[in-house]
Amino acid sequence: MMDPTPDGMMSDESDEALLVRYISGDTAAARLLTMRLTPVIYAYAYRMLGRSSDVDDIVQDAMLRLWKHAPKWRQDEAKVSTWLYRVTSNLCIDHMRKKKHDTIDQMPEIEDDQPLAEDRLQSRHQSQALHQALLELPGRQRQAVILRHLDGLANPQIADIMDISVDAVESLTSRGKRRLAELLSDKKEVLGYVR
Amino acid sequence: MSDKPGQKDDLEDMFRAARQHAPQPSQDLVARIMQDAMAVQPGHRRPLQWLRRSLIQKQGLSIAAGLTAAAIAGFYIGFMSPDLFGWTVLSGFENADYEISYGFSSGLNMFWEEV
Repeated sequence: MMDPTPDGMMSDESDEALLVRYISGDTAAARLLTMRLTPVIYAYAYRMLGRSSDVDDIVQDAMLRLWKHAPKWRQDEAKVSTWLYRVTSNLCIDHMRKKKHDTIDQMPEIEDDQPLAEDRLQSRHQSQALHQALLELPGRQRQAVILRHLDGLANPQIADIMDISVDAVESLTSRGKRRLAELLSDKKEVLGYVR
Repeated sequence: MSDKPGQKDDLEDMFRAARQHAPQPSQDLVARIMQDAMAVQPGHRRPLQWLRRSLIQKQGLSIAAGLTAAAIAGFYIGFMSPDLFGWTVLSGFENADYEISYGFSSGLNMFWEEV
């Protein structure tokens, strides 16, 4: 699994090995798993839903399910990250079904305390424009595009998470990207593209 | 299904930008997740758990002691003065003619039957 946090990078151990240590009562393993997995599924849920307050609850719920499921974990089971993505996906989809409202206007800006140089500002505008456009995609296309192009997962793992075939993943990502390109084409000049 | 060359590059730039500006969880959320991890971790001793367990054991002992004392007192009263016991308890029914009928209603409850 991608590991964007410095704390999570302090260990080369796999998620599965850390989970075994967690089950045996190792507090450090719990901390490493938290620091490694939480940012990943937080970013994923945030991109899926675009609502920060609900995202916190969903991420906490998903991680709690991991802790509770840990003693029943089998080594030959799916990867921890695949399992956790699947749980988070289901929670996000349930949430979207319950709250069928337009989330586009409620998309919060990503907080960033660092000073914004011009190219960094442009990069941030691009990121926010992409997030807005992602929220306009149908749920399954959005999910496939996020997992493939933002979380960097391979198609077979995405197929496992979404419980569909690899061909279906390719179809969803392809259609999702085409739709994204259409949605973003009007904003090219604003976003700094001079091609 | 193929993307136009310029379109593909633009999207790749935007994906790269989104990866750089990934939303991050708050410290508060991370702390709550760690608390959950500790709370359900197998074999994790929660603070003051020994005290709680000890109190439950002591409470169990005191309940057992209370029940034993009540049983002894009841037996003593019944054995030493059964007339007094009968008069006290049944005096409220002296003007009514009741018999206690044990049976099962449709709700499987015991019931009183007036005769």
